[in-house]
Amino acid sequence: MTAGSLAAKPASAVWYRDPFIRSIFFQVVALAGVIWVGWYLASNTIANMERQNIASGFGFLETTAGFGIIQKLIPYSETSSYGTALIVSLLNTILIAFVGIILATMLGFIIGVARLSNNWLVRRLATIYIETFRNIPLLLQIFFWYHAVLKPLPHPRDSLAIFDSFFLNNRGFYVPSLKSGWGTLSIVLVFIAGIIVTKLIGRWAKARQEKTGEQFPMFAVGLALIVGAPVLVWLILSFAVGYEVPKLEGFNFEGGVNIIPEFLAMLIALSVYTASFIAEIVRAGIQSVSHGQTEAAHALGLRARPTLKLVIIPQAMRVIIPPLTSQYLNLTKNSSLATAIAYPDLTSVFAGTVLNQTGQAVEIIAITMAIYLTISLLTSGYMNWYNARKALVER
Amino acid sequence: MADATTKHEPGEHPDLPAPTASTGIIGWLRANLFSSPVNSLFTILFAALLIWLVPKLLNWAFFDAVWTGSSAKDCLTSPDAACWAFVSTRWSQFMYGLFPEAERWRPDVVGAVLVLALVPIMFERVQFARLVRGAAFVLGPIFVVLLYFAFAGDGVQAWPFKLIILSLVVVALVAAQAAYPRLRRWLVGFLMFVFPIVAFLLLLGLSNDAVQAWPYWLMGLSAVALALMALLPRHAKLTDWSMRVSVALVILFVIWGLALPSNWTVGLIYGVGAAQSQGPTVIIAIAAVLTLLPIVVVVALLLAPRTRSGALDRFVLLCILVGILAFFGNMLLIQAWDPIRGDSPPWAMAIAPAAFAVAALAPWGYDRNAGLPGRIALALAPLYLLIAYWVLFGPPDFFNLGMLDWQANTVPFFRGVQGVLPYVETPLWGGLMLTLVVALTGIVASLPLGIVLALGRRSNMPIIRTISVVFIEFWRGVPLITVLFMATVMFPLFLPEGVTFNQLLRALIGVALFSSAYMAEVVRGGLQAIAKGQYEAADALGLSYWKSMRLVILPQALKIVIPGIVNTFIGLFKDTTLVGIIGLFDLLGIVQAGLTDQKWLAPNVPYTGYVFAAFSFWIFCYGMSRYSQYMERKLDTGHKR
Amino acid sequence: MATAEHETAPPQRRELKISDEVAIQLIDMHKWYGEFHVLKDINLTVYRGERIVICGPSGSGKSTMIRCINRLEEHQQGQIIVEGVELTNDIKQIDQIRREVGMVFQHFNLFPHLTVLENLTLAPIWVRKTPKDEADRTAMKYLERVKIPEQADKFPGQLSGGQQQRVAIARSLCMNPKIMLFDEPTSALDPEMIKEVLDVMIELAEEGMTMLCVTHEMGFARTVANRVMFMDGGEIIEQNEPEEFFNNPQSERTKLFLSQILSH
Repeated sequence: MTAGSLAAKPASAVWYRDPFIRSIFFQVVALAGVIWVGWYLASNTIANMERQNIASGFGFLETTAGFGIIQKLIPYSETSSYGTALIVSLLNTILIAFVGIILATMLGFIIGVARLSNNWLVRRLATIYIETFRNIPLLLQIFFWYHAVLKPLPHPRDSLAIFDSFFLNNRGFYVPSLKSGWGTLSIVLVFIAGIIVTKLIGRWAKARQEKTGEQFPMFAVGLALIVGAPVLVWLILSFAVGYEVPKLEGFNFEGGVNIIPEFLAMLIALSVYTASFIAEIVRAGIQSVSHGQTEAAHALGLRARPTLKLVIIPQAMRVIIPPLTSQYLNLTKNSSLATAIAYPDLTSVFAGTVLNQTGQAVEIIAITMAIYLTISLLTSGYMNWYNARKALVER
Repeated sequence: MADATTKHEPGEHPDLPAPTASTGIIGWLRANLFSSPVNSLFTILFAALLIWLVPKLLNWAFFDAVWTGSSAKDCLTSPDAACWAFVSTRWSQFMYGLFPEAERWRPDVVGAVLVLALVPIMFERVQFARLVRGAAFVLGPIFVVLLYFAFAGDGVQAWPFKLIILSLVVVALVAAQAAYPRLRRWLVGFLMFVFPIVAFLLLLGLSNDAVQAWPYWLMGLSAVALALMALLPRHAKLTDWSMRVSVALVILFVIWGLALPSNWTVGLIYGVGAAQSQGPTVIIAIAAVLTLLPIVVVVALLLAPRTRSGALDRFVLLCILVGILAFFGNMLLIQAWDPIRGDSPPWAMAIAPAAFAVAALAPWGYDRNAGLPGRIALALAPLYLLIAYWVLFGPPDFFNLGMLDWQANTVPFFRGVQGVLPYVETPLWGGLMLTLVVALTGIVASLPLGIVLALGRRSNMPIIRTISVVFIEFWRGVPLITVLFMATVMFPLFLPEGVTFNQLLRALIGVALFSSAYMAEVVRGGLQAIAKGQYEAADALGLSYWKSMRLVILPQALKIVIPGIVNTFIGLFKDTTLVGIIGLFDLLGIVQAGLTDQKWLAPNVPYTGYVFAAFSFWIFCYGMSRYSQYMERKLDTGHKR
Repeated sequence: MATAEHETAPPQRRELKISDEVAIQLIDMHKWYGEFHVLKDINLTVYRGERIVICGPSGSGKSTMIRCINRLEEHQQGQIIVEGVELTNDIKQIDQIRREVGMVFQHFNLFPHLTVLENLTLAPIWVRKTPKDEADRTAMKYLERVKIPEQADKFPGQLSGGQQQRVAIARSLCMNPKIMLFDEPTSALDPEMIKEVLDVMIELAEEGMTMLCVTHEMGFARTVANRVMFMDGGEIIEQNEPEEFFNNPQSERTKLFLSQILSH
């Protein structure tokens, strides 16, 4: 044995044991597999479509739809195109999702906080709420509200009336609307103005506090401006202009605004169901802030309210926001269950009626999925950005 | 009398009872219900609400409810309360859908087996005494109620006794599991790999198509089993369940491989008399020995107690080798004897022995010195077998060897089986049974797929990672209902002409793909939670990627994500209701369908139906979520230790 | 060990002035957790400028006692009077006392979402209504005193334990308290960081701050404290000047405790 014998024999790598080559090999195999599967499915699809004489391409979007939609936010009639139907139904999805998110958030935060109440009864009831509603399938809840509660309501003739101006019947919920069109608009404008003014006052109050230390009851003022002012304008307008109260004409109501039962059922079910998840998120978020934080704030002389505002909420929100966003996303995706009770949302109208009429399954499913996917990806993109920005700086 | 005002020497002060205002019932009330004016207000408000609401609910659900009846007329006797008659008359439909009444024992058996296998896995190391005490406390009253039901109606009912026996067996199994921890691993393997196949076979039964095509299924299964065996780590022991399952499947393969083409073996199994009429006694004898030898040996091995594992492995492999040898030997014998076989092309005759040689040599790839090529050869062994078969008998009528007429011999047997397990087509499946089938298939299928996707997403190979990310994010980004629509309308387009599969299978594939993406994210969470040091330690020990994953990382990661998996399952369980939208009758679907029955048009029936369905789902989901919380707590303390 | 280091140093006790004005008074104070009697008949008078070290085995009620002083815990019987204000359920009085009393926690309890500077200015701005500029200046002054002005714009998570604890002390000082409570300020720290915190505390003592300190740093007790107190089983067993306390403990329990704590 010479000293050099070890070094003299160079280690020869067996090619198939080289990690690099292996990794290239596996990746090429995987890619080839995916391409093959894609090609196989695509070629089958093309062949099948040719054989069954299914049209292809997106030309159908300009053809006349020929069916009505019971709830529309933009002008639509049977003579409109499938493309318009797509937009109408997408707007309906966005509407239910938006209103649902607002309601679910409010309900969820209230119940989440109630879950941590120091009142035993309140805590118990909040727990019962959460455990009941999150363990019952959403579709079942939708069915319940629609088929068991809203549909068996009396006919318009025997409507349940509240103050003789709100009517609840099996055609929906009829509410009075302001007589003039600009009345509603002005309330919206006041609402927006309220937000802007609140922002401005907030900035001024902050500057003043930094200068003089003087504090400003921003929450109360903001509430008054954003909620109070529109309500006030509404009250004034309703005295000045008056309402158009829904009136029974023949078999149905005329005038006012009708909220269709499908929308109501979806809204109640979605927000009640999602609220139970949001409540748990809120509870977990608040509990994630250690008790030491509260104690430190108290020891510094901060009272309960400012402690909550300055110490607990900012920290809890970091924990709450990401899962909350994904709940919003879930709610939006779950709104597709509307198809089960024929609320005219994207899935129900486009992936339902339009698909049945045109038979262009590939394009329609692709568009539908692409829309939901876009919403999802945008949301998760926002979430990643938020997480990156708000992540606690650690050593 | 010591009270707080008496003075004591330092260190001599006794413990005094707390002031009554802060303890006891009064203290509790003060602290929990009336700690501030606002709280007191809430308490009074909600207490009033409860006092108003609870009696109403109780009246609705119990005291005023209609319990017996056969139509809406009976329900209308108490229109402001539940009409449980609707549920009780349709009970079997809600459970089984339209599953033929005579065959309902099959879902019952599947359900019982599921419960038997699942319960012992769920609870780790229950102390026996505690178990007995707990079982007595929980089951005792339930038994009393069940016995009441058994004797309540006309004549004695059987089902309460079945339930009692089932729960006693479950308790016994849990106890056995506590005493014999290996049982757990067996049960997990059984549930993941054997149970799904058995359950589907049992539920579906044998269709005419299946009777014709069963050899294909068997060949496919055997090929998979052999390939799995080949890919098993070299030091896998017979005692590993995966090894045992594979061996068992190989035995099946050998048996049927022998039984298939040969009238003699068929005769051997189904009656010596039939065989004698068809061939020389010597050949029958040789065929019989060759047939039985591997079977006897391997069965003996499976029953044998554990010995030194290395030797055992070789022995098993030897047996498989003998099995393969017997298989081909038998075939060659048939060839030699059968005059019609003589017209096979000579090259076919040459390829068969060559393939046999390769297959026979392949197991030596198991030897530790053979390395990768040997293992690849073994992995390919079933392929060789298939090729050999193909060449010998020709592709289109794979097994339809006119001169051997295997069907004539075997079909009666399967007709017999069909008599016991007639085919129940899936459109008849429904109710809770279908709900469970969809949810369980989804979870069983999504777990392996999810693990692979999660590993892919964390891989450092860019293409693999991209594929995984795109796959996961796609399925997570779209609602399940659109996936189900896609499955309904697009799957038929994806497949070549003439190939179709039924609605249930389409829904199952859709659900499995959808949930695998969620499962992947759950598993990824677990992988990320494993400290970096664990990966480094595995590397430092010289473990390969797959070994470090299989032996070090995944066991830990999967354990900590059990709550996540259960939660995914809860979501999936609730989501199964969506299959109702594409025309399957799950529990909700069948309740919903029942509500449209003209016979049951009464205002209280929809409420009753939905409350029943909601309660059924709730029981399952709440039970599982409690279990998930229990596991979370347990794992939590496990980590802190 | 830091303890040993302090002990080997030559005795350098500085005589600091103690006034005869009462800062804190606990009279016949009792506290229960549920049915458990944690604090039994506590009587204690602290004069302005006193530096009291409280020691005792864990669970002896020492932390609970000082936490009662700024009402992080509620007592059920007896009186607590801080700077002439009695602690009752009245929020106003609680506020008033909390402004006068600063507290330093074992686990620092800095606000992780705020920078060091914001941690310091939070209470002055929102409780004392100080303009921001002024609050910033005060905060920087105290940061300099605890010798980490350069960390002002970092987040607590970026600092070492010792630095965090010094920020926590500075945070309390920004409220200009008359009394400081320390709840085991060094027990969550690595040995090499203990000294930097103790140095700040010693400096504080030299300036005449009234201090109540729960700690096991006996070196600190010898050099700084004017009174050392031993608690066990929810009672004050023994209290004395440090020399007497360490050299001539009266009670058997004190002797046992001291032998355990000083033996290592």
